Amino acid sequence: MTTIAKLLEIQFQGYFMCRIATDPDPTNEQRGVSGYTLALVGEDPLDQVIRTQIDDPEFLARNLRPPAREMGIRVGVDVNGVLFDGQPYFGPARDALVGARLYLEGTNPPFPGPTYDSRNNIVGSDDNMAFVVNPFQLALRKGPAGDESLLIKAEDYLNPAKPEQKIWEIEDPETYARRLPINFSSSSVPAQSAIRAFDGAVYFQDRVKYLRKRIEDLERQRAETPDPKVAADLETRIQELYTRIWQIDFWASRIETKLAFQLTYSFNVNGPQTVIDRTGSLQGEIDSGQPWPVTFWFGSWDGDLLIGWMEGSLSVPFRPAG
Amino acid sequence: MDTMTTLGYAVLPSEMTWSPRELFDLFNYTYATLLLLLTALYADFEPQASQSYPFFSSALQENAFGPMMTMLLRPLAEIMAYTRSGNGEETTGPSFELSDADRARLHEPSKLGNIQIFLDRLDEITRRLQRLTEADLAAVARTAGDVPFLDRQLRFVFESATAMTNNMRRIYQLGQLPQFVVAP
Repeated sequence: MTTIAKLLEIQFQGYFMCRIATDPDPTNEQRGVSGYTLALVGEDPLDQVIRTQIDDPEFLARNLRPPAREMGIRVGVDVNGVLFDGQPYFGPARDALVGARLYLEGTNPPFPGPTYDSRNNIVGSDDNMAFVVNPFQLALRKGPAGDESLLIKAEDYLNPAKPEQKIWEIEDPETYARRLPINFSSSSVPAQSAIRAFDGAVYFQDRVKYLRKRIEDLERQRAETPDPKVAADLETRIQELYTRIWQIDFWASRIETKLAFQLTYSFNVNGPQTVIDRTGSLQGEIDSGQPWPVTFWFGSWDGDLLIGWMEGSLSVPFRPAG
Repeated sequence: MDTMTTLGYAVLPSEMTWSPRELFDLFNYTYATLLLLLTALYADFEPQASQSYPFFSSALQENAFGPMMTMLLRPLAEIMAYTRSGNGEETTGPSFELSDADRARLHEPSKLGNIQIFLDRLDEITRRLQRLTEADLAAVARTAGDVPFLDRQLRFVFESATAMTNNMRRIYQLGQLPQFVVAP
Protein backbone atom coordinates (compact mmCIF):
# COMPACT_ATOMS: atom_id res chain seq x y z
CA MET A 1 0.00 0.00 0.00
CA THR A 2 1.29 3.46 -0.86
CA THR A 3 1.17 5.94 2.01
CA ILE A 4 0.83 9.47 0.74
CA ALA A 5 2.56 12.33 2.52
CA LYS A 6 0.04 15.08 2.97
CA LEU A 7 0.99 18.68 2.37
CA LEU A 8 2.14 21.00 5.09
CA GLU A 9 1.25 24.43 3.76
CA ILE A 10 3.64 27.01 5.17
CA GLN A 11 2.05 30.44 4.87
CA PHE A 12 4.02 33.67 4.82
CA GLN A 13 3.40 37.37 4.42
CA GLY A 14 5.01 40.74 4.96
CA TYR A 15 6.60 43.77 3.35
CA PHE A 16 9.43 43.54 0.85
CA MET A 17 11.66 46.26 -0.57
CA CYS A 18 12.74 46.56 -4.18
CA ARG A 19 14.95 49.44 -5.28
CA ILE A 20 13.92 49.02 -8.88
CA ALA A 21 14.48 51.17 -11.96
CA THR A 22 11.32 51.79 -13.97
CA ASP A 23 10.54 52.18 -17.63
CA PRO A 24 11.80 53.98 -19.69
CA ASP A 25 15.02 53.66 -17.72
CA PRO A 26 17.07 50.63 -18.73
CA THR A 27 16.57 47.85 -16.21
CA ASN A 28 20.13 48.21 -14.92
CA GLU A 29 19.87 51.97 -14.32
CA GLN A 30 21.43 52.65 -10.93
CA ARG A 31 20.22 56.13 -10.01
CA GLY A 32 16.90 56.50 -11.83
CA VAL A 33 16.67 59.11 -14.56
CA SER A 34 13.51 58.87 -16.63
CA GLY A 35 11.25 56.43 -14.74
CA TYR A 36 9.15 57.10 -11.66
CA THR A 37 11.68 55.60 -9.25
CA LEU A 38 15.06 56.97 -8.31
CA ALA A 39 17.79 56.67 -5.72
CA LEU A 40 18.01 59.69 -3.45
CA VAL A 41 21.36 61.29 -2.67
CA GLY A 42 21.98 59.52 0.60
CA GLU A 43 20.69 56.17 -0.55
CA ASP A 44 22.27 53.13 -2.17
CA PRO A 45 22.06 52.76 -5.96
CA LEU A 46 19.00 51.10 -7.44
CA ASP A 47 20.04 47.47 -7.62
CA GLN A 48 16.68 45.94 -8.63
CA VAL A 49 16.92 43.33 -5.85
CA ILE A 50 13.76 41.94 -4.25
CA ARG A 51 14.51 42.05 -0.52
CA THR A 52 12.15 40.07 1.68
CA GLN A 53 14.45 40.56 4.65
CA ILE A 54 16.94 43.29 5.46
CA ASP A 55 19.50 42.05 7.97
CA ASP A 56 21.87 45.01 7.57
CA PRO A 57 20.66 47.81 9.86
CA GLU A 58 22.82 50.39 8.08
CA PHE A 59 21.28 49.51 4.72
CA LEU A 60 17.87 49.82 6.30
CA ALA A 61 18.71 53.19 7.84
CA ARG A 62 19.92 54.53 4.48
CA ASN A 63 17.09 53.21 2.35
CA LEU A 64 13.85 52.87 4.30
CA ARG A 65 12.29 56.23 3.62
CA PRO A 66 10.09 58.08 6.07
CA PRO A 67 7.29 57.73 6.99
CA ALA A 68 7.63 53.93 6.73
CA ARG A 69 8.50 53.52 10.40
CA GLU A 70 5.81 55.97 11.50
CA MET A 71 3.35 53.85 9.52
CA GLY A 72 4.42 50.76 11.47
CA ILE A 73 6.02 49.18 8.44
CA ARG A 74 8.72 46.56 9.00
CA VAL A 75 10.36 45.02 5.96
CA GLY A 76 10.26 41.29 6.45
CA VAL A 77 8.26 38.39 5.01
CA ASP A 78 7.71 35.85 7.77
CA VAL A 79 5.82 32.61 8.29
CA ASN A 80 2.51 33.44 9.92
CA GLY A 81 0.50 30.22 9.68
CA VAL A 82 0.53 26.54 8.85
CA LEU A 83 -2.09 24.22 7.34
CA PHE A 84 -1.87 20.45 7.13
CA ASP A 85 -3.87 18.62 4.52
CA GLY A 86 -5.84 21.80 3.97
CA GLN A 87 -6.82 22.29 7.61
CA PRO A 88 -5.48 24.60 10.34
CA TYR A 89 -2.62 22.80 12.05
CA PHE A 90 -1.56 23.14 15.67
CA GLY A 91 1.05 20.39 15.89
CA PRO A 92 4.74 20.93 16.79
CA ALA A 93 5.63 21.82 13.20
CA ARG A 94 3.51 24.93 13.52
CA ASP A 95 5.47 26.21 16.50
CA ALA A 96 8.68 25.35 14.71
CA LEU A 97 7.75 27.27 11.58
CA VAL A 98 5.75 30.32 12.66
CA GLY A 99 8.07 33.31 12.77
CA ALA A 100 10.58 31.81 10.35
CA ARG A 101 12.01 34.41 7.98
CA LEU A 102 11.51 34.01 4.24
CA TYR A 103 14.46 34.90 2.06
CA LEU A 104 14.73 35.06 -1.71
CA GLU A 105 18.39 34.30 -2.31
CA GLY A 106 20.88 33.93 -5.15
CA THR A 107 22.07 36.51 -7.63
CA ASN A 108 21.16 37.53 -11.15
CA PRO A 109 24.38 39.14 -12.42
CA PRO A 110 25.06 42.01 -12.60
CA PHE A 111 22.45 42.33 -9.87
CA PRO A 112 23.38 41.17 -6.38
CA GLY A 113 20.10 39.38 -5.71
CA PRO A 114 16.89 38.15 -7.32
CA THR A 115 15.06 40.59 -9.58
CA TYR A 116 11.85 40.96 -11.55
CA ASP A 117 13.42 40.06 -14.86
CA SER A 118 12.13 41.60 -18.06
CA ARG A 119 14.90 43.76 -19.51
CA ASN A 120 12.33 46.18 -20.87
CA ASN A 121 10.31 43.58 -22.77
CA ILE A 122 13.24 41.44 -23.94
CA VAL A 123 12.73 38.44 -21.65
CA GLY A 124 9.34 39.43 -20.22
CA SER A 125 6.68 42.07 -20.66
CA ASP A 126 6.67 45.28 -18.66
CA ASP A 127 3.31 46.22 -20.15
CA ASN A 128 1.70 42.97 -18.95
CA MET A 129 3.65 42.78 -15.69
CA ALA A 130 5.02 39.47 -16.96
CA PHE A 131 8.23 39.21 -14.97
CA VAL A 132 10.12 36.15 -13.89
CA VAL A 133 11.47 36.26 -10.33
CA ASN A 134 15.03 35.39 -11.23
CA PRO A 135 16.61 33.39 -9.66
CA PHE A 136 14.09 31.62 -7.46
CA GLN A 137 15.88 30.33 -4.39
CA LEU A 138 13.47 30.40 -1.49
CA ALA A 139 14.75 29.85 2.05
CA LEU A 140 12.89 29.71 5.35
CA ARG A 141 15.19 30.36 8.29
CA LYS A 142 14.37 30.09 11.99
CA GLY A 143 16.92 31.19 14.54
CA PRO A 144 19.97 33.44 14.31
CA ALA A 145 21.35 34.08 10.81
CA GLY A 146 24.10 31.59 10.09
CA ASP A 147 23.14 29.36 13.01
CA GLU A 148 19.56 28.50 12.17
CA SER A 149 17.81 25.78 14.11
CA LEU A 150 15.54 25.19 11.14
CA LEU A 151 16.33 25.76 7.47
CA ILE A 152 14.16 24.83 4.50
CA LYS A 153 15.36 25.71 0.99
CA ALA A 154 13.82 25.22 -2.42
CA GLU A 155 15.33 26.24 -5.73
CA ASP A 156 13.66 26.35 -9.12
CA TYR A 157 15.45 26.24 -12.46
CA LEU A 158 14.30 28.31 -15.41
CA ASN A 159 15.48 25.53 -17.68
CA PRO A 160 15.82 22.23 -15.81
CA ALA A 161 17.68 20.75 -18.78
CA LYS A 162 20.37 23.46 -18.42
CA PRO A 163 20.25 24.88 -14.90
CA GLU A 164 23.23 27.13 -15.53
CA GLN A 165 21.63 28.82 -18.55
CA LYS A 166 20.93 32.55 -18.13
CA ILE A 167 17.52 33.86 -19.01
CA TRP A 168 18.88 35.97 -21.86
CA GLU A 169 20.43 32.84 -23.36
CA ILE A 170 17.13 30.95 -23.49
CA GLU A 171 15.80 31.33 -27.01
CA ASP A 172 12.21 30.34 -26.34
CA PRO A 173 10.43 31.93 -23.34
CA GLU A 174 8.02 28.98 -23.42
CA THR A 175 10.84 27.23 -21.53
CA TYR A 176 10.24 29.40 -18.48
CA ALA A 177 6.58 30.33 -19.04
CA ARG A 178 5.66 28.33 -15.92
CA ARG A 179 7.61 30.89 -13.92
CA LEU A 180 5.62 33.84 -15.29
CA PRO A 181 2.69 35.22 -13.29
CA ILE A 182 -0.50 33.22 -13.61
CA ASN A 183 -2.60 36.27 -12.90
CA PHE A 184 -2.30 40.03 -12.77
CA SER A 185 -4.90 42.32 -11.26
CA SER A 186 -4.64 46.09 -11.35
CA SER A 187 -7.52 46.56 -8.91
CA SER A 188 -6.98 43.86 -6.33
CA VAL A 189 -8.95 44.02 -3.09
CA PRO A 190 -6.52 41.64 -1.34
CA ALA A 191 -3.63 43.92 -2.30
CA GLN A 192 -5.44 46.98 -0.96
CA SER A 193 -6.63 45.15 2.15
CA ALA A 194 -3.14 43.91 3.00
CA ILE A 195 -1.92 47.44 3.61
CA ARG A 196 -5.34 48.95 4.39
CA ALA A 197 -5.07 51.52 1.61
CA PHE A 198 -8.15 51.71 -0.60
CA ASP A 199 -7.68 55.04 -2.36
CA GLY A 200 -4.33 55.59 -4.01
CA ALA A 201 -4.91 59.29 -4.65
CA VAL A 202 -5.75 60.00 -1.00
CA TYR A 203 -2.90 57.78 0.18
CA PHE A 204 -0.35 59.82 -1.76
CA GLN A 205 -2.00 63.16 -0.95
CA ASP A 206 -1.40 62.27 2.68
CA ARG A 207 2.18 61.36 1.79
CA VAL A 208 2.76 64.75 0.19
CA LYS A 209 1.27 66.51 3.23
CA TYR A 210 3.64 64.53 5.43
CA LEU A 211 6.63 65.38 3.26
CA ARG A 212 5.75 69.09 3.23
CA LYS A 213 5.45 69.11 6.99
CA ARG A 214 8.81 67.41 7.26
CA ILE A 215 10.34 69.99 4.96
CA GLU A 216 9.04 72.76 7.24
CA ASP A 217 10.61 71.06 10.25
CA LEU A 218 13.95 70.62 8.53
CA GLU A 219 13.96 74.19 7.21
CA ARG A 220 13.40 75.42 10.74
CA GLN A 221 16.34 73.32 11.97
CA ARG A 222 18.51 74.58 9.15
CA ALA A 223 17.71 78.21 10.00
CA GLU A 224 18.61 77.65 13.62
CA THR A 225 21.87 75.73 13.28
CA PRO A 226 25.13 77.68 13.46
CA ASP A 227 27.06 74.78 11.89
CA PRO A 228 27.39 75.14 8.09
CA LYS A 229 28.02 71.41 7.66
CA VAL A 230 24.84 70.55 9.52
CA ALA A 231 23.00 73.14 7.45
CA ALA A 232 24.32 71.58 4.24
CA ASP A 233 23.24 68.11 5.36
CA LEU A 234 19.79 69.42 6.21
CA GLU A 235 19.57 71.09 2.80
CA THR A 236 20.35 67.75 1.16
CA ARG A 237 17.57 66.06 3.10
CA ILE A 238 15.17 68.87 2.23
CA GLN A 239 15.97 68.53 -1.46
CA GLU A 240 15.42 64.77 -1.24
CA LEU A 241 11.93 65.43 0.09
CA TYR A 242 11.20 67.96 -2.65
CA THR A 243 12.33 65.36 -5.18
CA ARG A 244 9.90 62.82 -3.78
CA ILE A 245 7.04 65.32 -3.90
CA TRP A 246 7.92 66.17 -7.47
CA GLN A 247 7.93 62.51 -8.49
CA ILE A 248 4.57 61.85 -6.83
CA ASP A 249 3.01 64.94 -8.44
CA PHE A 250 4.50 64.33 -11.86
CA TRP A 251 3.78 60.61 -12.20
CA ALA A 252 0.48 60.79 -10.27
CA SER A 253 -1.69 57.90 -11.43
CA ARG A 254 1.26 55.79 -12.53
CA ILE A 255 2.31 55.65 -8.88
CA GLU A 256 -1.15 55.79 -7.27
CA THR A 257 -2.65 52.87 -9.16
CA LYS A 258 0.10 50.44 -8.22
CA LEU A 259 -1.11 50.27 -4.64
CA ALA A 260 -3.87 48.01 -5.96
CA PHE A 261 -1.63 45.82 -8.13
CA GLN A 262 -1.39 42.10 -7.45
CA LEU A 263 0.88 39.78 -9.37
CA THR A 264 0.35 36.09 -8.64
CA TYR A 265 2.78 33.23 -9.24
CA SER A 266 2.26 29.52 -8.83
CA PHE A 267 4.54 26.65 -9.83
CA ASN A 268 6.13 23.49 -8.51
CA VAL A 269 9.76 24.03 -7.58
CA ASN A 270 11.86 21.71 -9.69
CA GLY A 271 15.36 22.02 -8.25
CA PRO A 272 17.28 21.02 -5.12
CA GLN A 273 15.46 20.94 -1.79
CA THR A 274 17.09 21.18 1.61
CA VAL A 275 15.70 20.55 5.07
CA ILE A 276 17.88 21.04 8.15
CA ASP A 277 16.07 20.58 11.44
CA ARG A 278 18.86 20.64 14.01
CA THR A 279 16.65 20.22 17.07
CA GLY A 280 13.97 18.02 15.59
CA SER A 281 11.47 20.78 16.16
CA LEU A 282 9.25 19.74 13.26
CA GLN A 283 8.64 16.34 14.88
CA GLY A 284 8.04 14.83 11.51
CA GLU A 285 9.64 14.26 8.14
CA ILE A 286 9.50 16.47 5.04
CA ASP A 287 9.70 14.58 1.75
CA SER A 288 12.37 16.09 -0.49
CA GLY A 289 11.82 13.64 -3.31
CA GLN A 290 9.09 15.41 -5.22
CA PRO A 291 8.37 18.96 -6.43
CA TRP A 292 7.05 21.39 -3.81
CA PRO A 293 4.17 23.63 -4.87
CA VAL A 294 4.68 27.31 -4.18
CA THR A 295 2.19 30.10 -4.72
CA PHE A 296 2.66 33.72 -3.84
CA TRP A 297 1.84 37.22 -4.87
CA PHE A 298 3.57 40.55 -4.88
CA GLY A 299 1.59 43.76 -4.82
CA SER A 300 0.42 46.78 -2.84
CA TRP A 301 3.36 48.57 -4.41
CA ASP A 302 4.30 51.95 -2.93
CA GLY A 303 6.45 53.50 -5.66
CA ASP A 304 7.58 56.28 -3.35
CA LEU A 305 8.80 54.12 -0.46
CA LEU A 306 9.86 51.35 -2.89
CA ILE A 307 8.17 48.70 -0.80
CA GLY A 308 5.29 46.31 -1.36
CA TRP A 309 3.49 43.35 0.15
CA MET A 310 4.19 39.67 -0.44
CA GLU A 311 1.96 36.82 0.61
CA GLY A 312 1.84 33.13 -0.21
CA SER A 313 2.68 29.61 0.78
CA LEU A 314 5.18 26.83 0.25
CA SER A 315 3.69 23.35 0.47
CA VAL A 316 5.88 20.43 1.49
CA PRO A 317 4.89 16.76 1.78
CA PHE A 318 5.02 15.99 5.50
CA ARG A 319 4.70 12.93 7.72
CA PRO A 320 4.20 13.80 11.40
CA ALA A 321 6.10 11.52 13.78
CA GLY A 322 4.08 8.79 15.41
CA MET B 1 45.58 64.41 -38.05
CA ASP B 2 42.17 64.04 -36.54
CA THR B 3 40.52 60.64 -36.63
CA MET B 4 37.71 60.47 -39.18
CA THR B 5 34.50 58.55 -38.69
CA THR B 6 33.48 56.13 -41.38
CA LEU B 7 31.21 58.84 -42.71
CA GLY B 8 34.07 61.28 -43.12
CA TYR B 9 33.30 63.72 -40.30
CA ALA B 10 36.29 64.81 -38.24
CA VAL B 11 34.89 64.89 -34.75
CA LEU B 12 37.29 62.85 -32.66
CA PRO B 13 40.88 63.69 -31.75
CA SER B 14 43.85 61.66 -32.85
CA GLU B 15 44.84 60.40 -29.38
CA MET B 16 41.65 58.39 -29.21
CA THR B 17 42.14 54.65 -29.23
CA TRP B 18 40.27 52.44 -31.65
CA SER B 19 37.62 51.15 -29.26
CA PRO B 20 35.83 54.42 -28.49
CA ARG B 21 35.74 55.10 -32.20
CA GLU B 22 34.21 51.68 -32.75
CA LEU B 23 31.62 52.40 -30.08
CA PHE B 24 30.84 55.72 -31.71
CA ASP B 25 30.26 54.05 -35.06
CA LEU B 26 28.29 51.25 -33.44
CA PHE B 27 25.90 53.76 -31.93
CA ASN B 28 25.22 55.30 -35.32
CA TYR B 29 24.82 51.88 -36.93
CA THR B 30 22.35 50.90 -34.21
CA TYR B 31 20.50 54.18 -34.55
CA ALA B 32 20.19 53.64 -38.30
CA THR B 33 18.93 50.12 -37.63
CA LEU B 34 16.22 51.50 -35.38
CA LEU B 35 15.13 53.98 -38.05
CA LEU B 36 15.00 51.24 -40.67
CA LEU B 37 13.08 49.02 -38.31
CA LEU B 38 10.48 51.69 -37.53
CA THR B 39 10.17 52.58 -41.20
CA ALA B 40 9.52 48.94 -42.11
CA LEU B 41 7.11 48.51 -39.21
CA TYR B 42 4.93 51.46 -40.13
CA ALA B 43 5.18 50.89 -43.86
CA ASP B 44 3.19 47.69 -43.49
CA PHE B 45 1.89 47.55 -39.93
CA GLU B 46 -0.27 44.63 -38.86
CA PRO B 47 -1.86 44.42 -35.39
CA GLN B 48 -0.51 41.42 -33.51
CA ALA B 49 -3.93 39.86 -33.01
CA SER B 50 -4.52 39.48 -36.73
CA GLN B 51 -1.13 38.09 -37.65
CA SER B 52 -0.22 34.64 -38.83
CA TYR B 53 3.07 33.26 -40.06
CA PRO B 54 5.31 34.99 -40.99
CA PHE B 55 5.05 37.29 -37.97
CA PHE B 56 7.13 40.01 -39.59
CA SER B 57 5.34 43.00 -38.12
CA SER B 58 5.33 41.50 -34.64
CA ALA B 59 9.03 40.66 -34.84
CA LEU B 60 9.80 44.29 -35.60
CA GLN B 61 7.34 45.73 -33.09
CA GLU B 62 8.66 43.66 -30.19
CA ASN B 63 12.18 44.96 -30.74
CA ALA B 64 11.58 48.55 -31.72
CA PHE B 65 10.48 50.39 -28.64
CA GLY B 66 11.47 49.30 -25.14
CA PRO B 67 14.38 47.11 -26.14
CA MET B 68 16.03 49.01 -28.96
CA MET B 69 15.64 52.49 -27.57
CA THR B 70 16.22 51.90 -23.87
CA MET B 71 18.40 48.80 -23.81
CA LEU B 72 20.72 49.49 -26.74
CA LEU B 73 20.83 53.10 -27.86
CA ARG B 74 20.70 54.89 -24.55
CA PRO B 75 23.24 52.64 -22.81
CA LEU B 76 25.62 52.87 -25.77
CA ALA B 77 25.52 56.66 -25.60
CA GLU B 78 26.07 56.56 -21.84
CA ILE B 79 28.96 54.13 -22.16
CA MET B 80 30.60 56.45 -24.66
CA ALA B 81 30.75 59.15 -22.02
CA TYR B 82 32.92 56.89 -19.86
CA THR B 83 35.49 56.18 -22.59
CA ARG B 84 38.46 58.16 -23.86
CA SER B 85 36.34 59.49 -26.66
CA GLY B 86 37.22 63.13 -26.20
CA ASN B 87 40.08 65.53 -25.71
CA GLY B 88 41.09 64.32 -22.26
CA GLU B 89 38.81 66.74 -20.48
CA GLU B 90 35.48 66.12 -22.12
CA THR B 91 33.97 63.11 -23.84
CA THR B 92 31.94 63.07 -26.99
CA GLY B 93 28.33 62.14 -27.47
CA PRO B 94 26.72 60.32 -30.37
CA SER B 95 26.37 62.21 -33.65
CA PHE B 96 23.27 60.37 -34.98
CA GLU B 97 24.80 60.27 -38.45
CA LEU B 98 23.32 58.14 -41.20
CA SER B 99 25.37 56.68 -44.00
CA ASP B 100 24.35 57.51 -47.54
CA ALA B 101 23.34 53.88 -48.06
CA ASP B 102 21.07 53.86 -45.01
CA ARG B 103 19.62 57.23 -45.92
CA ALA B 104 18.73 55.82 -49.32
CA ARG B 105 17.14 52.72 -47.73
CA LEU B 106 14.89 54.92 -45.63
CA HIS B 107 13.45 56.41 -48.81
CA GLU B 108 12.41 53.00 -50.10
CA PRO B 109 10.33 51.34 -47.37
CA SER B 110 9.03 48.76 -49.81
CA LYS B 111 12.50 47.21 -49.96
CA LEU B 112 12.64 46.73 -46.21
CA GLY B 113 10.09 43.93 -46.04
CA ASN B 114 12.66 41.22 -45.42
CA ILE B 115 13.41 39.99 -41.89
CA GLN B 116 16.91 38.96 -42.93
CA ILE B 117 17.89 42.63 -43.29
CA PHE B 118 17.19 43.18 -39.63
CA LEU B 119 18.59 39.88 -38.40
CA ASP B 120 21.83 40.61 -40.21
CA ARG B 121 22.05 44.04 -38.64
CA LEU B 122 21.28 42.75 -35.15
CA ASP B 123 23.88 40.02 -35.66
CA GLU B 124 26.37 42.70 -36.63
CA ILE B 125 25.50 44.81 -33.56
CA THR B 126 25.91 41.77 -31.32
CA ARG B 127 29.21 40.82 -32.93
CA ARG B 128 30.61 44.31 -32.47
CA LEU B 129 29.37 44.46 -28.87
CA GLN B 130 31.09 41.19 -28.09
CA ARG B 131 34.30 42.58 -29.51
CA LEU B 132 34.01 45.70 -27.36
CA THR B 133 33.21 43.65 -24.28
CA GLU B 134 36.30 41.51 -24.76
CA ALA B 135 38.59 44.49 -25.33
CA ASP B 136 41.12 45.79 -22.82
CA LEU B 137 38.75 48.20 -21.19
CA ALA B 138 41.49 49.88 -19.18
CA ALA B 139 42.92 51.14 -22.46
CA VAL B 140 39.69 52.79 -23.50
CA ALA B 141 38.20 53.90 -20.16
CA ARG B 142 38.05 57.60 -19.39
CA THR B 143 39.66 56.84 -16.03
CA ALA B 144 40.74 53.65 -14.29
CA GLY B 145 37.76 54.02 -12.00
CA ASP B 146 35.40 53.77 -14.96
CA VAL B 147 36.49 50.25 -15.95
CA PRO B 148 34.00 48.40 -13.71
CA PHE B 149 31.15 50.53 -15.06
CA LEU B 150 32.22 49.93 -18.66
CA ASP B 151 32.53 46.21 -18.07
CA ARG B 152 29.16 45.96 -16.36
CA GLN B 153 27.31 48.05 -18.94
CA LEU B 154 28.87 46.56 -22.04
CA ARG B 155 28.13 43.03 -20.90
CA PHE B 156 24.55 43.92 -20.12
CA VAL B 157 24.01 45.56 -23.50
CA PHE B 158 25.67 42.60 -25.24
CA GLU B 159 23.36 40.19 -23.42
CA SER B 160 20.32 42.28 -24.34
CA ALA B 161 21.36 42.45 -28.00
CA THR B 162 21.88 38.68 -28.07
CA ALA B 163 18.42 38.07 -26.66
CA MET B 164 16.85 40.60 -29.03
CA THR B 165 18.36 38.82 -32.01
CA ASN B 166 16.95 35.52 -30.77
CA ASN B 167 13.59 37.17 -30.17
CA MET B 168 13.41 38.56 -33.68
CA ARG B 169 14.07 35.18 -35.24
CA ARG B 170 11.71 33.33 -32.90
CA ILE B 171 8.85 35.81 -33.11
CA TYR B 172 9.08 35.90 -36.92
CA GLN B 173 8.71 32.11 -37.00
CA LEU B 174 6.38 31.41 -34.06
CA GLY B 175 4.80 34.68 -33.00
CA GLN B 176 5.12 36.30 -29.61
CA LEU B 177 4.46 34.35 -26.41
CA PRO B 178 0.80 35.06 -25.52
CA GLN B 179 1.76 36.30 -22.04
CA PHE B 180 3.89 39.00 -23.65
CA VAL B 181 1.32 40.23 -26.18
CA VAL B 182 -0.14 43.55 -25.10
CA ALA B 183 -3.91 43.69 -25.42
CA PRO B 184 -5.00 46.55 -27.70
